[in-house]
Formats: sequence, structure tokens, C-alpha cells
Amino acid sequence: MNEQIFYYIVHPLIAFVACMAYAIVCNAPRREIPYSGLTAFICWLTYQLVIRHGGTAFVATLLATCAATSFARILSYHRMLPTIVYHIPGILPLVPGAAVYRCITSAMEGGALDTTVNILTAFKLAGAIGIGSVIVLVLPQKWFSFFPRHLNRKDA
Amino acid sequence: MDYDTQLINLALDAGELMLASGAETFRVQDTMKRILSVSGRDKIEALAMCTLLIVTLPREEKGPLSMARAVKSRDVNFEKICAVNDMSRAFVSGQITVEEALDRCHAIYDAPNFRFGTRALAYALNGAGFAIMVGGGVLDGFVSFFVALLMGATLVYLSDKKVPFFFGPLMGGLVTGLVACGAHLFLPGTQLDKMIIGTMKALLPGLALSKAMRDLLEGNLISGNSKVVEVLLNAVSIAGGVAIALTIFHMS
Repeated sequence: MNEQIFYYIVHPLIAFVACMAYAIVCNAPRREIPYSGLTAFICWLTYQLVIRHGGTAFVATLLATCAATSFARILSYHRMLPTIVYHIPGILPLVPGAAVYRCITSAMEGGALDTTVNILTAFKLAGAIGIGSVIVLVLPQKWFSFFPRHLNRKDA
Repeated sequence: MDYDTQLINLALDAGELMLASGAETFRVQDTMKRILSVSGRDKIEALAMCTLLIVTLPREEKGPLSMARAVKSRDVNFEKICAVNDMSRAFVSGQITVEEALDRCHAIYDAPNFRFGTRALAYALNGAGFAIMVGGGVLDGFVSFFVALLMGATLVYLSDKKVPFFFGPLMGGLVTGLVACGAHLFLPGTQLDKMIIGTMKALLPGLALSKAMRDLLEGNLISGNSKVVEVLLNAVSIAGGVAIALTIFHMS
């Protein structure tokens, strides 16, 4: 039970804070920063749900990217801003950092087979992010337009 | 300047701002086409490739008007993308004139970024969070905060200087590796891999990767291909920086 709370609540909350910080690095408009964090929250929650129920890293990354991108598109319609503002901080937790690190260490140890396997793993996960984003980004806009537009912005 | 020249300059200014701030090729082309469509002519053309913008406005009475512009700087700045988006929307719907739109473009160009300290602290918070998320303990997160703070300060400092685009990630990776190894030497309870992975995540080109895939699958093959190369170069320079630091650490 404790473990579930840790992975399903604490981890996404850390993702929320970390990706709000990344939105600051990308110089997002101030009012949109919490929404970027929310996208990352949903992304990491999906990832944990899939991977704790027996999914592979590839499937978990793909589904989490789809969830984050869908949420980013809903927000982008609601807030009348480009999708990229919510999408990029949202998928940051999925970027294959561990695979790249293992590539470095195995290349330094000189194992050609290990290096190749790790490079392919990194490409596989990167491909999952790319495919997941594109699948959702090419869907018709009508499917993501169910929150009313936020018309209080100064020049909307 | 006559109206057509102003219009074409506005399209190029808007496109340059968006491309230099990291917008997708599709959005850049769409914005430029919308701005040009205000002229009411057919067969307008707006192309964006990795570092090049070309716009054409066919005019039957005076001959066609076409301009190109090279976009040298590349950065990530969502606020500028949003501001240009609002500006083009207001211009196309007729709320502002060409002169006002051009003035707003100049204002967006000089818009301030977050302060140095804020950005470095944001990198630090990011590194600390991801170090815990990839499986590190509280101590790893705490140490990663300082590793990422130094890495962020290096990156932000270098981004204001005119250095080749792969140099920032290379130095970022080097600083990450060196500081993490040093911290591991003094605090053997920390996990070196978790600290480096957590700090490195903000450096890895996730933005460029998803843009590259999108461009390729939408048929913008030239920008897609060149972005794939950019992603690979960036990733290799980060890996190179970390590898140099780890080699020094293992030798000593």
C-alpha cells in the first residue's frame, strides 16, 4: 500500500514540480507554468500505471506520450496557445536518460555488443515518444475541443 | 515601403522569431501563410526549412515579390512563440495594422527572459526531481540539486555567448560528470548513475526529437532530416562530455 502511494502519488508530484522548473528553463509564459506541470503529472502517472501492471518500457512510454499529448491538446484549445508549450515539458520525464547513460558506460568499458544493445534501446524509447506524439497530433482538432475557450486573456 | 513589402517583411519577422524560438516547421509555415493571405492573392507560398525562410507573393501588376532570410540563432523560448501567435491572430483578424504588427515584432524580439538565477535554480530543481524519479534516494536528490545548479549556470552562461550549438551540451555534460564524480568521492553513499541520469535529462534534446519525428512524418523531409542530425549531434556531445568526466574519475 505504501509503495502504491509512493509510485502513484509522490512520483507524479515530483514530476509536476520538476517539469514546472523545466517550463521556466524554456521561458514559458508565467501563467502557463502550472499547466505544463499538470501535463507531466498525467504523463508520469500513466507511465507508472502501465509499468506497474506488467507493461514493457516501450508500451508504457508510448501510452504515456499519448496521454500527455492529448492533455496538451485539450489545454492548448482551452488556453488558446500553441500545443508545444504544454507538450514539451509534459513528455520530459520519458526522455531516455538511463539508456543514454548506459550507452556511455558500456562504450567506455569497450563492450561493442552491450553498446549496440543500449543504443538500440535508446532509439526504441525515443521512437516511442516520437510515434506517440505524432499519432495524437494528427488527430482532428474537434476531438480535443470539449473545454470551453478561456476568453479572459488580454488580447484573445 | 509599400504595403506588399511591409507585409512580406512582417511574415519574415514573425517566421524568424518563431523558428529561432523553437517552434515546429508546420506552425512557422502556417503563421507566415496566414499573414500573407491578408493580401487576398492566390498562390502565396511560405516555406520554412531548418535555418531558412522563403516567402513569395505573386503580383500580376508589378511582378512577383520574393524574399529569403537565414535564421542563425536557435533557442527555446515559449513566450516568444505565444506572443507571435497572438500578434498574427490579431493582425489576420484586422485588429491591428501592418505598422503596429511590425512594432510588436520588434518588441517581442527584445522581450526579457527569466533572470540568470531563476533559470539556474529551475535547472537545479529539475535535476533534483528527476534524480529521485529514476530511483535515487533523498540524498541523491539533494546532491543532484547542486550538480544541476552548476550545470544550469554553465548552460545559461554559455547560451548568451556566441558558441557553436554543440558546445553548450558538451560543457553541460562535462560539468555534470565532473561535479557528480566529485560529490560521489566525498559522499560514497550517493549513487553516481542516478545523479548523472537525473541531471542529464534536462540536457537531452527531447524537444528537437519530437519536432524531428513530427516533421518527418508530416512530409517536411528536409527539416526533419536535418533535425535528426541535430538531435544525434546534441546527444553525442552530451555523452562525450559525461564520458570525459567519467574517464578522468576512473583514472584517478
